[in-house]
Amino acid sequence: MGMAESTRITLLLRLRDRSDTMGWDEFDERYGELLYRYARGRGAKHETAEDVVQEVTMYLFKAMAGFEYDARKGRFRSYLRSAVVHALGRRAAKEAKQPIHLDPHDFDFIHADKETSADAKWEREWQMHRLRWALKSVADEFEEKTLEAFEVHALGGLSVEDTAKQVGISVASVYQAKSRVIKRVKAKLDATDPECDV
Amino acid sequence: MAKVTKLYCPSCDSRIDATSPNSAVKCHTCGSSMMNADTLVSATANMGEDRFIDDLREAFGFAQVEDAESQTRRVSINATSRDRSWTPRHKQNALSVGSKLGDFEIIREIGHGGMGVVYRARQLSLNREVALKVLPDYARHGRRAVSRFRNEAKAAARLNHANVVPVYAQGDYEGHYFYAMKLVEGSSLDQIIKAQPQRLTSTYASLHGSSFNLSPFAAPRQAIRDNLPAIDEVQQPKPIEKTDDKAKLPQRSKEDYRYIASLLAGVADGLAHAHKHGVIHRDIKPHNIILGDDLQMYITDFGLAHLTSEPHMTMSGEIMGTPSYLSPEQAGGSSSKIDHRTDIFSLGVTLYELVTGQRPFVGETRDQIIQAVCHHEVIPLRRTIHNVPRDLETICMRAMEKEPGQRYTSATALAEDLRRFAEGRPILSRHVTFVERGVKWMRRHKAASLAMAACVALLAVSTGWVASYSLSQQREADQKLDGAYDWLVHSNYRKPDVVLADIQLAQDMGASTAKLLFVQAMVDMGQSQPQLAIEKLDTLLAANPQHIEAIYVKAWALWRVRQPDQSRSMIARAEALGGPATPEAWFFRALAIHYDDPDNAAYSYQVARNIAGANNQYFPQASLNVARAYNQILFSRRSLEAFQEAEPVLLQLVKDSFYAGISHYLISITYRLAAEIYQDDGNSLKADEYFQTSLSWALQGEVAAPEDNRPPTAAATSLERLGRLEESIAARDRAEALAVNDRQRCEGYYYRWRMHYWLGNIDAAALDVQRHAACNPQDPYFTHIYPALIDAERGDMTAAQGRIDELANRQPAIASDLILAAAGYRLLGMDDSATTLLASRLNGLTFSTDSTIPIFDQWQRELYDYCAGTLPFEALLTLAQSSDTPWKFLGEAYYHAGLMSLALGNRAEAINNLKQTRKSFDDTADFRYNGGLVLRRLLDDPTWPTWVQP
Repeated sequence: MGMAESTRITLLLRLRDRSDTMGWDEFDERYGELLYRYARGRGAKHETAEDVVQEVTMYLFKAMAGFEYDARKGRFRSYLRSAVVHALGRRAAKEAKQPIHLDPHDFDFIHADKETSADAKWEREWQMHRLRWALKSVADEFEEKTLEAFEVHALGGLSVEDTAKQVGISVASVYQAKSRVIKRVKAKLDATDPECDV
Repeated sequence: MAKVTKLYCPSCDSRIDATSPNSAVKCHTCGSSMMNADTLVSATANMGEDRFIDDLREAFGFAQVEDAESQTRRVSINATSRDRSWTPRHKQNALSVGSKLGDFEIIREIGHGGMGVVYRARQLSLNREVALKVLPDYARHGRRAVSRFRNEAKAAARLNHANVVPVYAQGDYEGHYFYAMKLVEGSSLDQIIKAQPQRLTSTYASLHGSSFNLSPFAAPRQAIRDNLPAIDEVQQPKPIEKTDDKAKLPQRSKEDYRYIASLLAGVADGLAHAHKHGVIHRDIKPHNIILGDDLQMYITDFGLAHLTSEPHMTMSGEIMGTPSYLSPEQAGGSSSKIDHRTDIFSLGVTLYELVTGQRPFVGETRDQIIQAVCHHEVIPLRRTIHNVPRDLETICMRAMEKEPGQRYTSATALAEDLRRFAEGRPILSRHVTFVERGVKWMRRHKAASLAMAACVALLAVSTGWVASYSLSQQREADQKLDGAYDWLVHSNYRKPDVVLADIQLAQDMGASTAKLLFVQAMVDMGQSQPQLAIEKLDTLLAANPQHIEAIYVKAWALWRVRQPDQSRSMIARAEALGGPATPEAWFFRALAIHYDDPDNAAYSYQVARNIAGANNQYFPQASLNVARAYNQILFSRRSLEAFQEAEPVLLQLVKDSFYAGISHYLISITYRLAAEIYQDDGNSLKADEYFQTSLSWALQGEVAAPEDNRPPTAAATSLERLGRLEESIAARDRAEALAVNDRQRCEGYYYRWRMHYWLGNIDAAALDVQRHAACNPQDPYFTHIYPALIDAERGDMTAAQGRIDELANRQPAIASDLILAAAGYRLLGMDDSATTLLASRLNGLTFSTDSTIPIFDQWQRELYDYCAGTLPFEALLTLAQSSDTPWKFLGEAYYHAGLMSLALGNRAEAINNLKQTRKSFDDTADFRYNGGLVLRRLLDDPTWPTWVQP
């Protein structure tokens, strides 16, 4: 992954740093899934959700030059949510053929923090996002087979025996893989302030 | 193990204790029946862990589903999630026979590779058999890669050509992305090279009913056929082993080589078709080319290559194929340089392998192969196989030139040469001699090869080796011109360098004059030399007065030399002759009216694009200019509506990244213009934000197109608007370093000098003014007004006044010079001199006329009177307002009003008036510029100008 050590702050800084062309891709890689799932969770179809992700990514990218990052306030997280909510709204309005005022730089909604706390779906997706982030962050520390066993068994639900056979390791190693990965992910999460954006 | 298992109710999320893991349980809170615990419950009883794993499963899109057949629960991939790219290797379960993917029923697997599995499948609704390519669940590629793939696949699906495997359908079904193609019976070239090289002989072809009938002898058909191995199943990728086993190659006859060339000409045709639709294959190799049992060549897997070019995909050698067929620009990772010529290179490599049985670039490791692709000269084919005809070698080597500019300019040109060779006609490409090859090599290895140069020169003299030309020069010349025309008209007239060599060659060989003149005129336009273009077009039009395209191009050139009335009359002439009939003519028409009538231009570009689409032609330049026209509308009409029209067109262009430099530049401008509109409306918050965005696009453009001077130019403008002058100057410096002609450099001086001036870098400012004056000796601002300002800044008022005196006394006297001289005096605080000058010189003065701008004559006269102090300002304003284009005049009126206030020592009033110059935005925007120049100085320094007493 290589980006295990990179924090969100450096990503944002790099987004602002013109010499780094990876910013956009990385952003998509990190938040694309969160935005997509949230959009799908709000009833968007696949195509719509894809469009929304792209749109939000683009807005963020465009806004980055002027966006002051402040991790403590969870501002980015609510910004993201607002951006995706607005993108969905615009999309819905478009589909309903209603005249809308398209304004990608309506920054007022950044401050709509109150609304965020009431959005359980977003909170849930954000937790899922943190889990993904944590697992991806520690994935580099493990052997491929360990990760594969973890995926196939712990996540995929294949029995311990079948997993051992498929991955080509012992049954004991499958158990071990599971507990070791979980332990690391938990430690990673414990070491991260839950209010902090990841 | 009798353990108490902790579970969570899926409905209400409350905790449930289940004593037996295999029994059904009920949630005590909500009463819903709990899932069977079989696979859900892990071996550990750690309740936190179970919950945690459930969350992880959810996070990664695994969900428990009921499996009706086995009566158990299994975990499947949730269709609303695809991101599991963190796992290094995710095994995909093959689709079993009879399983369905939407409309498709799997018959059997017929091959698999890094890009997925290919099945023979039945499309149920149409009851036909298809080849169904299913990507390994697309989670693995990342959502973004799939999106891009999806777009490409859509483009590929629109291709309709005999040599391209048709794509029937594409879509996704429960996380599988699939792609249904026509089932072509045949074998891929890599299989043929490996196992059945005899299929590439003319004998085989004639036996199988090919129209390619060069073989004079007739062998008993059935006998030969029986000895051939069975024709394999379609699209059955097999890993290719090293093909350095020369023994396998049959001895080929001349006819065989011609047959191979005729086959590849078909492939080149298919590529040409795709390129015209903007689709680049990017992964042309024997594996992706099928020789059908009908002896037709089919290119397959269009639009798939993007997946392997995803950065995180390249980390795994397993997923990436061999780099042997990559072009140097691909292997070198410079994705911004990849264009259709990448496919030409890869087809050249394929041809090489078909002919010699060997790959031109070899190595033990991937890195070694890449090294070879980028740096090693190819061993000429005839050194490996002696009976390869020289012309075929020439074709192959030209296709495989390392520099894209040296290759065939189009797949059409490659197809033409292959076909000529196949038909025994002379080819158009010139044979590249050993000496030239040495020169090329030296260019790449300059330092190392100095010593060798002497030897090569000696060799050349001693052998008397001269370049040999093929026959039929006239035709070759015309074909080169066609290629140049195609590039200049359809792709990028701003980069004429690409085709200069071809045009020169065509000229040397005696190309037809009319065609040559037209192409040369286009080059002149691309090099910003409209005057030269006009000369050529005049010659052309004298011989052929009804050449509609030439008339429009001339109208465009006339506009560029600031002859709007003549330009308009040329357009009228073209319209009288029936107007545009071809997409190209529509395009030139649009260019001609681009500034004059941007709405009409936008329409005209769109027509060009649309007709071209209907004619199966590809016209990227037209799309680009649609966006440019919207920007022009935005600029001249100051309407945010145009912003909304322009933005999506530009975002698409940026995404397509065909014109990385100019698309970023244009979108940066779009945002800057919108920002200026907000600024004019007094919405400074919004304005600032849009300026920032504009800057961000420009800076991204510098990354995306590091050799293009336009992105730093745009960055400089945005930075200037944001008040970051030092950075803006630095951006101008970057742009200057990248400038390719004087026009670009001069534009840089125009904008840079005033920043130096504002910052107090007077010497630097003076230098830029001087340089710009050298470019535009007719511009009195740069020859007189600004030098005077600089003198004043240095405290030399005598010199400053001398410059204005000179302007005032210039002969023949024209009103605009005098008005400007008066403005100059006022800048120096000499209001009396200004008034006296104008009052004393009115007699006998002719006012310049420009009938194309209504009220212009009257305007000059009234402005003169106002500046002389004999007409009230309100009268001037009333006149401006009465015009159709008040913004052309208001800026000028306020500029002079501001300078009058300034000369009289009224700073506040001067500032207010100069702020109004923002109202000026005709296509030169002179008064916006000049007003802004003085205004900023006033605002930055409350003591300026020191030579005026308040």
